[in-house]
Amino acid sequence: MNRERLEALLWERIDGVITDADRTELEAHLAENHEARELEKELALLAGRLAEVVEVDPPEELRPRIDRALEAHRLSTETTEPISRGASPSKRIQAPFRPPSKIRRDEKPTFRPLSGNWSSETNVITIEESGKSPPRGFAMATNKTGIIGAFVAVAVIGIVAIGYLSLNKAPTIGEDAVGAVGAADRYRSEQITTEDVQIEQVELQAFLQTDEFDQLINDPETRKLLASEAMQEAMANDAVRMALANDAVRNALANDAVRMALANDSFHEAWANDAFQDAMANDAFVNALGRPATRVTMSDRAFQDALANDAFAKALASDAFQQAWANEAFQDAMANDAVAKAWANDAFANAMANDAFQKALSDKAVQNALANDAFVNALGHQNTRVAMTDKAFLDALANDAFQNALADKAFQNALASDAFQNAFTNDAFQKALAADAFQNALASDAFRNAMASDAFQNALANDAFRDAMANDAFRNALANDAFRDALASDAFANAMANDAFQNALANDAFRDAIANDAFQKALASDAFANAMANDAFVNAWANDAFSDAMAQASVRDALANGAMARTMENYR
Amino acid sequence: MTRDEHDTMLVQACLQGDRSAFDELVDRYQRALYNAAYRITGSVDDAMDVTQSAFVAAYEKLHTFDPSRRFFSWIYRITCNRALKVVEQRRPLAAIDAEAHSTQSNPEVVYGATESGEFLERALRELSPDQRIVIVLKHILGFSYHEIGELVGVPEKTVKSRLFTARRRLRTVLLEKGFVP
Repeated sequence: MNRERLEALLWERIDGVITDADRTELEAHLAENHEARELEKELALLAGRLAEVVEVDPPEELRPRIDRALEAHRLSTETTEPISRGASPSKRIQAPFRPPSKIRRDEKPTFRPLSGNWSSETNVITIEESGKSPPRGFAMATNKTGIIGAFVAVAVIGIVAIGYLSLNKAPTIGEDAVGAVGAADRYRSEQITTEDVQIEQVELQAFLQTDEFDQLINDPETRKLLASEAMQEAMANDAVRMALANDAVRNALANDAVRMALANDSFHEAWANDAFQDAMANDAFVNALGRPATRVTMSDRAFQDALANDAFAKALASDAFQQAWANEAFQDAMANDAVAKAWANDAFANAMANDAFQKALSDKAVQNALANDAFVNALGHQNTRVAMTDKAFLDALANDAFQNALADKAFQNALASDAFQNAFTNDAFQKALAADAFQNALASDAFRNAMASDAFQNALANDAFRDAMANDAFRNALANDAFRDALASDAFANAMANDAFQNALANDAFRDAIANDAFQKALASDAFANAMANDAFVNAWANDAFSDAMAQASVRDALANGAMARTMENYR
Repeated sequence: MTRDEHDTMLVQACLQGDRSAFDELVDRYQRALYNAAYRITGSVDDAMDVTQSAFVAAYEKLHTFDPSRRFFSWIYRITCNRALKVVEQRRPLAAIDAEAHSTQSNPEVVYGATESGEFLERALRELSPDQRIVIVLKHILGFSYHEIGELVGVPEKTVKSRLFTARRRLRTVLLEKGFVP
């Protein structure tokens, strides 16, 4: 019994999963081997020590923290719901601004104070610009959830107002300023006061005194967001204001994860980025903000760091990317841990800025592939990301055949394999990927199945095989059904795993032979396949004379002849 | 009713609007999830963040939970994934605050309480997250191969081989540190 087996059996016995037969074998070995008994003692002691590592008690503050987080989540989902229902609030909330299109970028906007009134007849609160007519206010039902919605809207208007205040050189909103604002007098600046928001409805006023309201207004993340220079500068931007006037953005702002994300330093920089602002003004993107998957993505540190990358931010603003955001599979994929890992990678960010990649992203097959664990895991692999910087790979990604292949499970599994990912960084393989013949071959089930096979993937680790893939003759062969069927056969797969065969692939004559109809016909025959399962036969491939013979038309024709193939089978 | 069946019932109750049902799930699993997060991240703060966010994520995605599966496996995977992400994002790996728990209410139960415990704790930190997870699940949380496979999302065979490698590595690290168990 070797040491590895001994160790494995000892652990199985400690774990209580050893079979009777193995136990008998182990005990017999222990009885006659001193070294084995020493190891037995050592492992038993280690297991004992590990068992002594006790569970730790969670800190006392954990449970209240979980409760608070769950409550905040419940509140945020309740606040988003009513706002998104019924007539679009964006039509009702005209905000205290002129339409963005009428504000020039270089113009410092002026803030107009608000006043609010509740109508007992209509059960509606209106908040309007003071002294202005007609009012630009909003109306909202005053049931409980409506009140929460009103609070969100007030908060958002507050956010916007504060942004304006800072633009007008009003005292900067800092920790102290906002932190000191109480539940009932949050808007205590010169421009906006409790008097300005004249809310008469008792229930709403009561709500304004609640912890929930206080929590949001005193939310450090919100304060951090408001206090950031980038956010304040961003407020001068049409796209940002338009974004803030957008239902989806406002709803998103009611969500803890989004606020936390937006308050992140990287997001501060992003707010100041034209591309990001444009993205925020994009319907697909902001609608996506309302989905949990997007919020998960946005709250991911890697995503936020990626925003600091110009290429990434630009990609975010691209039509293709924004179209992709509209796809739920894509959004879910974006929230995936492996993709999150990819966000943080410059290669991935730069790839995103690539036209071919964006074009690929706008394709359903790619988006759906992104929702597939195997593909996403492949994205999380360094080599895949390196490959993504390669034009050949990106061009391949933009190719229909490649995209369709991405939707195929066998291909996705192949992509996720180490061998495949290692091949990605190989010039020859990239060249192969970019070749029409290869991409067309990808459309074939037989080829994709072959690619998913261990033998093919192992062969990919071989330089000769990869070089062969980059070779026209080999790729032309890939275009042939018979060859692809042969590739998917066990016999060929075994041959591919054979060094001699792989080396033979480096031989021009052999490659030419492979591309030849007669040879391919032979390949597809059972007799030939059986012959290929024979080591001696496969080893013969490595022989130059044999390969050269294959280059002879007469030999190939002979191979294509059933009788010859049968002879070969007998020969083996 | 088994524990798993009861969990499924709580999930259904929660989906039907009974908030207290989820609170019961938190009661049941906060300790195990916190322990897993702590063992993976090695940090009290990170473990609290991870546990909290895992419960919120589970609550948010409760409608996607497949009742034919174990709730604990589901939320455990969420927790492990989040904890792993924290570890991956931490560059360089911050010093693990083993001392942090000694300031908790129950220092005597912390594995740093004995010399061998400290050695072991340090050695565990030197394992890869994948290796640490299987060791923690097997030896500290007491799961079977099958349960570990479910939690980690790999076949039982892989659990076995991963555990074998992890234990070997742990022994090597302990020996390198001059600690013979």
